[in-house]
Amino acid sequence: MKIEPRVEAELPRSFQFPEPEVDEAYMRASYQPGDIAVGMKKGGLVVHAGGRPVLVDQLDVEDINHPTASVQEMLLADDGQQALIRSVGPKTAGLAEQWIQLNRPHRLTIRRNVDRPLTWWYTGTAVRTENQLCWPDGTKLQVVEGTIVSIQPSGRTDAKAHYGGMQYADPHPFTYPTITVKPADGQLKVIVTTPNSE
Amino acid sequence: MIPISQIFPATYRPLLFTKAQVTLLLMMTGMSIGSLESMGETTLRPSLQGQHPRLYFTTNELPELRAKREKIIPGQIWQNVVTSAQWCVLQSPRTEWTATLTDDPQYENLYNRFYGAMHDMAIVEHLALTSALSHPEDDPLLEAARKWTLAAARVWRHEADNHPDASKAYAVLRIMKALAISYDVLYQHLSEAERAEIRTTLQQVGSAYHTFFQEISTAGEGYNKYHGSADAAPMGVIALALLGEIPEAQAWLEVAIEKHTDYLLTHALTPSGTNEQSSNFCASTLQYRIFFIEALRRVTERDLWTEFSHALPGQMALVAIAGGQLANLQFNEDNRSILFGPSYGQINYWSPVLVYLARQQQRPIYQYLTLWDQSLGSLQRTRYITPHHREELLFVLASTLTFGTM
Repeated sequence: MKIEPRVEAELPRSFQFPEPEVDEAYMRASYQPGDIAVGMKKGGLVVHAGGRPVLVDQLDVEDINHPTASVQEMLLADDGQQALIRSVGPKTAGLAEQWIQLNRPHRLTIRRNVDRPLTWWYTGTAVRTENQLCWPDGTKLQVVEGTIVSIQPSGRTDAKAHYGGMQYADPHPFTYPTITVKPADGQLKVIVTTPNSE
Repeated sequence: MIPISQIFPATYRPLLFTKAQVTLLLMMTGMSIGSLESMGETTLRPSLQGQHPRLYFTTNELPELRAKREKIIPGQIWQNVVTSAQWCVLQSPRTEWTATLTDDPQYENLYNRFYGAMHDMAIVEHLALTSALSHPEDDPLLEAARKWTLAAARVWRHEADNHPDASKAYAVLRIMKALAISYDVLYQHLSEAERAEIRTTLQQVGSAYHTFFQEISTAGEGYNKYHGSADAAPMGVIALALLGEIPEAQAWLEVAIEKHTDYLLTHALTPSGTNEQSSNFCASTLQYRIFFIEALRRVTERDLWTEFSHALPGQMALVAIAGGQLANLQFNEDNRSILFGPSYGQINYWSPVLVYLARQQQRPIYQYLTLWDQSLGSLQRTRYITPHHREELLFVLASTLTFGTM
């Protein structure tokens, strides 16, 4: 039987995988390409907006050969209009409580209690204006509590290597800009929006 | 035979039906272990005796599958299939086996062998399936498909004498799976001598790995859960291709089924529906379940999807897919379309699973998300190439068949 491609009504737009070894939670604004989608794994974030990663933490939470511990607490709540992930940790990265709030359809607010500057990477050609990055399609990332300390245009190089040390003959290593943000009084607040925000 | 799952709820099955308990039950009721084995044997459908292809389609289904190429979306997928097949034709079949080295401090030999097997698997399988779905009167791929299959059968036969262990199983069994699939779909175009050559490789290597699978300490329940699936499923596919043709195939099939029913289908993924190491391994586990269980129900009458109704969880796909992929994307990146996905585990890694989920569960959302991957049908090239031998990790996910379900 042919299955018509469509977005079903009442689909879940958030989900938690709570087993301690996994410790992941996800939220998405919708099932439309380009809308916000966010994942948290053991306290580390990946945020997609405008069809690209706009914030990818560098906490090594994806290393399957040296798995990190789960965060102390993780909770996911979703009432349809607003979804929220609350977590505590990881302490090793200086992170305490984190609140990741998705206000559908276009706004994500990231609040992090953190005792040191945080660096993450992103993709695309974003233009910086003071404490804000703006991508050509209108996607924005704004640091509203804390300060952008630096942006390194080639701060992260991804050339594939084996965990045992062997460097692969990667035919196309990628470089990505990194951004370092200093918290204000231990608080970091970042807002990500996609076009058509109110 | 009525499956146990239809008699008792799945949640009680592990408690009620350990082998020792079943044996005790049979002793109490006067039945013999022999009758237990005959009850438990999963056999070839009588109509498939001596028949090929049988694993993923039959001769009777081919005209309908080929006709799908003329439709819009399946036609686009077919174009991707053909483009990849044309690349495969330009590659040279392997002529020398890569032996295992004991001194391998940076695992380069391990990965020369692993990527070599994955590379050959992808090309053998892709060429064979594309050839089978090409117009029989005008099939430009048949000769290349035959050549690659026979070359792989000759080179990788050395594995029969290369003591199996866990570091070899996940490579060797995958190239054997490709040989089995190619044997199945090219069967009518191979001479009896060519069939015998491929069967001999599968028989010798399969026998060595059947012995490996008997060792509980190395291939039992405590073995890595993803690799457990990626090893047992190919063993099952090999057995299904040869069922009724070599006597060993029946025992191989029983081992593959037993591993799936005893623990892989209940424990290789977490209760929430992912793999405990990574969400990417969730996709891989689903791929290998599909390869085996779809073939199993076609070749026998055993349907493990019915017995294990939660064995195809799709929630990770629903939440982790964050973007699409163009047909001509050459080099992929971490997180590009899948949250927390490695560069080789992006939407093109998930989309063949999505197609199957859509059909199996009658779910439009999976079909919808599938269409975000415009490269569907392509063989996946990766950035993982060993430094000196230049062995490239390739993936083929039976993409040739996906257009048939659209």
